[in-house]
Amino acid sequence: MKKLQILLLSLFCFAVQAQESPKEEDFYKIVTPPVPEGVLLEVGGVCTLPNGSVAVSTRRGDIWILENPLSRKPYYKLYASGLHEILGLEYRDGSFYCVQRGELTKLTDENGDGKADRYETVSAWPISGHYHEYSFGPKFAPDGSFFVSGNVAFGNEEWWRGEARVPTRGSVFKVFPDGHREEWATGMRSPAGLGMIDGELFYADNQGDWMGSGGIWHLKKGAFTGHPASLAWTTEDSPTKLTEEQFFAERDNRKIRNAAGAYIKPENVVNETPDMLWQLKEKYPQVQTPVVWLPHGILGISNSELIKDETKGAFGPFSNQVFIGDQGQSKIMRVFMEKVNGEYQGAAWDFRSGFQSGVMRMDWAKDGSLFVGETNRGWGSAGDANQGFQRLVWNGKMPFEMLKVKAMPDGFEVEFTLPVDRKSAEDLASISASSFNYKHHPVYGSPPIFREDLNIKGVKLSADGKKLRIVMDGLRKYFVHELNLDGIRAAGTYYSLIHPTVYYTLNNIPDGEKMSTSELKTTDSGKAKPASASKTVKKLVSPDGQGQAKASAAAPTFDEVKPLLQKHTCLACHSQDKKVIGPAFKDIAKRKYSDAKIAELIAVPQPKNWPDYATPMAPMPHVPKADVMKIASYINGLR
Amino acid sequence: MKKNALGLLLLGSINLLFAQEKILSDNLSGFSNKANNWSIVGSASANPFLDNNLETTAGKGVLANIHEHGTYGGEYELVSDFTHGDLDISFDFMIAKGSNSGIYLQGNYEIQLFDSWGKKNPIYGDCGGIYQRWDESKPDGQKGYQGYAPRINAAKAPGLWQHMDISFQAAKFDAQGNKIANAEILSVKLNGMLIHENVELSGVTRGAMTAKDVAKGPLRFQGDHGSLALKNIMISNFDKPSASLENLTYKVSYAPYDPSADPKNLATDDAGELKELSWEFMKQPNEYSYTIKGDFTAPADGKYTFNQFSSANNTLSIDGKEVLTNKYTGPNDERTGEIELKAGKHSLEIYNAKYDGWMSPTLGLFVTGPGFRKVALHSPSSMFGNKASDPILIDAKTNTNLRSFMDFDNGDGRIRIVHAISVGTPENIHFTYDLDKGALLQFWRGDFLDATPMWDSRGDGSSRPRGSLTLLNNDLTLSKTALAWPKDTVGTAYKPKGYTIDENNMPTFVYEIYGSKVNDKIRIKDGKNFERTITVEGSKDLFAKLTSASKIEKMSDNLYAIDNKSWYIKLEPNASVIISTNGNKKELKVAVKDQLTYELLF
Repeated sequence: MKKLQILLLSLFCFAVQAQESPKEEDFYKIVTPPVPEGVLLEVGGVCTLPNGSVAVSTRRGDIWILENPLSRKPYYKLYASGLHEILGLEYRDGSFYCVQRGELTKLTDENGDGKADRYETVSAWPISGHYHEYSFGPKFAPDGSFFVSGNVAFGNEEWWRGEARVPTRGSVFKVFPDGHREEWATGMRSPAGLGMIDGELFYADNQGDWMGSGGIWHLKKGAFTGHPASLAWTTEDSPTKLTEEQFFAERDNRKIRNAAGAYIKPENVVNETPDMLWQLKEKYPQVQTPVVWLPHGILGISNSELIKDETKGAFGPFSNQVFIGDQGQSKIMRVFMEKVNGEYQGAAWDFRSGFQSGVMRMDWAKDGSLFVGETNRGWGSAGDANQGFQRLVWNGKMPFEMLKVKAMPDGFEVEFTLPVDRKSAEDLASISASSFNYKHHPVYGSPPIFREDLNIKGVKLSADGKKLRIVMDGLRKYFVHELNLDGIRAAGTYYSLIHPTVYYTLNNIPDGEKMSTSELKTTDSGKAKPASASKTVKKLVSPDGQGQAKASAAAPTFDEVKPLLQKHTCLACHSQDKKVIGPAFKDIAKRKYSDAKIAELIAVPQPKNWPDYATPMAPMPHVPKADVMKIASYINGLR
Repeated sequence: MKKNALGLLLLGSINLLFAQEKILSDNLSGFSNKANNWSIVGSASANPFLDNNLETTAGKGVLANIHEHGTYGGEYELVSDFTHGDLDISFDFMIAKGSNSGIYLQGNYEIQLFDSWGKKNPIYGDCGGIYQRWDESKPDGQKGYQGYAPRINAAKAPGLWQHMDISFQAAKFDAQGNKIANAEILSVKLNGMLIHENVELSGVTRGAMTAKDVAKGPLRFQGDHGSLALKNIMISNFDKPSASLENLTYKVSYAPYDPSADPKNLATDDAGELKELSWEFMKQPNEYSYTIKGDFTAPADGKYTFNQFSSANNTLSIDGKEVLTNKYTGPNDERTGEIELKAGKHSLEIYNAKYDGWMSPTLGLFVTGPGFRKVALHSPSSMFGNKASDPILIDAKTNTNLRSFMDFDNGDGRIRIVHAISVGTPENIHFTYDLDKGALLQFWRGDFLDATPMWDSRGDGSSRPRGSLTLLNNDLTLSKTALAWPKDTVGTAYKPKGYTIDENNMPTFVYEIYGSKVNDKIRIKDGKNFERTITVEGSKDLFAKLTSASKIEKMSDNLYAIDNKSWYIKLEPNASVIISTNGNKKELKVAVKDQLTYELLF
């Protein structure tokens, strides 16, 4: 009895403490410098200068230099203007290099008045003039050349299909200072984010046709990352040794016409044996699977630039890790990479949300804070401003986070920023895990497929309480392994992890010794609990009937359905009252769909019903029927 | 008097057959001009540098007014015998340097014709202005009032053919002769630019024939302020009753969408009569299929043009014949259909079915017919469609450069120039340059650019000129050979090198071709022209193609008029000129040693 009381007491304490666990914003502060009226910073490029100023390029074609940018009142100077949607900016030897839609341009101030007076075309490349043919970059390659990437165009009739109408589209290419270009890698769809990590090129792509989800790829010369558009221009001399014929021998392009002769947009097929990208790699080794998949709707919906933390601790405990922005969700994610069997793979977490617009570009300020350049025009974002330039600053306090997750022959080793509470860590009920993959098909996006729960066999916590080995059955190569460490608490404070979920993409399972069962802790408090873990709350009913439960058909409230909405990532794009990426639930309710129709639309969305929304919803046929009906009932309850 | 009446009658009967009538082309009959300063000639030309200079050749097709400055009076004007009410008039005109004229609608409301070449801030008295009214009782300096300046100065240089379109609506009177509606200038376009829209005139302008508005008055050309020529003068009278639509009924189905059912044949949920043509009888803004029927009265035999706005699937039928076939449209998409009708009643039917909640319902139906202007048949509130985008307009308050895609069609089909840069100046003349070819693509007078297509939402990367545009071409400017001009840059070693910006923010374009480095500099000259200087370093005796045009006329030693006097090229005196023919085009080329300088006047 006494023991039970203590247990109850500790549970009580821990529940209270858990509610008060600090959040992202308690460690990383978003600072918004004032912007002069009339200056529109729809940011496409950010570049810190050697003198501490920061240069910002915009989609409207301006380059602004912010002098004394860490002060409360930076000074804005217009360095250059009139350029064509500048989506990247770098500085070297007194000149800026920026990528416009159709060229790499070197900007130099020759007369010394602080403004560019020579706008030199380093190299101009062909484009057809389609709106989606953005070009991104440059990034400096170690050999002095420049990496540039090119978006695909879309078809005229097949408006859903990415295509390369001219060379360079859907590829990453190198521009040399003498102006000549060389293909570097192919298979891109929307390569908006390039990043150099230790002299090597990485890039992020966006969910869409042939891209089941966003992710980060390591781009070795000749790599092919999945979208076939660029293969239209590869030749025998291309570093990519993969032809269109070879690709379409393995994959169905689904160019199908209806009886009237019009092309039919490919939609997700629920009952099929799906293809996955890694299967193409098994056949053609140059196919590159992502270092990490960034699960669509969870870790972003439109990934942008990636940048390595080279602040030596000034930005917090994540030295040498990678930060990657997301436009649609106005946030930054964090990635830990490791090399296993010679290939990169790693773990990805949410890091900091709440930026005012879509996160597009980043660079380190001199003090180790992070400049963040933002725009959402044409696509929408969680932050509802159309543009922004902000700064993310660490306040020096240690957040309770997973620092690293490393693959082990029999599971994972999670390292924490702070020692964890041993009791919570050594309880298997604190941890759950599953794994899944994505389809490789011409449909816009993919639902997570082949999801399986993983059986956790046991754990071992290091003596210092900072490293936790998690041993499990059923690791699957190339699959995304989702670990939820909801129950783990920090030692002493009983704080929850700020981000308890990690997504590890397991391109290779390392060799080596597995842990012996005898070393493992296998306590599972969840199994000891009674089956009815859900709380039964006694409803208070006043004599006049107020507070009385409504008819049994009453729709669930937001709070009741919120866990489901979170679990299935609905809240990544929808909120109850406000337009975010997708329409507000209230606006969906106004359509007066039946519950069954809503369920059907969740499985097979009809983006054409919502033409005012730029980002089509991914099909979610994997959401269980009971969940989807509860969500539908909630939505219709908002009428 | 009798003759006039006959003339009017004839004019009326002609109008039944032809919407437009050409006047003052072959003779001056039907018009009076006491001083004989107006005449019909074969052609006209005017030296842009000689005051009031206008030279003509004998022939037909052009109306000329030769008038020396300094003599004034009503005897110099050209006045029609006919009178008109609602009228459209369009014409080409050539103004002599320093000259001044005007068209008086109904003899009373003057649209100014004036040499406003290069003027930065046009006033009511500039070309295309609606001239001031005049109150003699007010003190000096306050007599003039309610003049309306054109939105922009779109006027060209003296000696060039310019074009104007005017739509005029006469004042209206009740049976007792009381004015019940003011006259209106519905629109004026000068050289393609809309410079006035729906300007209501409280009364006659200065120099009017009558002190008060009239229901009918003559067409009157001012002739005592200098020389000018006109041609292709076309008028359309709108003096016939409008069509009407009555006895409206509707039936509607609110059944939800069923792909297997034809929405036209769904069971009726509601039916009734309508006072006005509108969709607003419906109980819900989506998931509907309705038909509206009514009696359409055609006032006369002739061609009727219908313009319809509707959301999603819609048709328009007259007497069971589909004038607009079933088509899916957005609420801002205008559909146009034509039909020949006999005078009398016809049954009209509109069908609309919509199952897309994102589109607001809308219904607009306009008709234009023999002798009457476009009228709306729907109730005003029926067409509050979706909002248009907020425009993103770029003015060149200082010299301004902007890269964008530029859509370009000089008659060979639309192409998208993807490495284009447009340069705007506070002098309100602007140009676009193709960096892929070193080519001057186009220039214009007016406002600078509309960047809405590029910067609204995702945008398509393109901007559009906001002015009176002259199109050139995107051929290479330089070639090794004078005759076989290269089709593209293949074999020329062409390499764009960008541009430098001078202290006034004006660019000088740099490129390499045939191993030479080229600087191409275009600057403002005399506040209203462009001067282009092409410098070739390491010259290899190149040739420059300055234009490819339907017609090139040598006006004087070094002045050439291009494309039927649309603009001028002014060369340096020592230029060695080659004029050649390429298909149906004439080309003007000049040999380039180290440097070539020429002016573009427009």
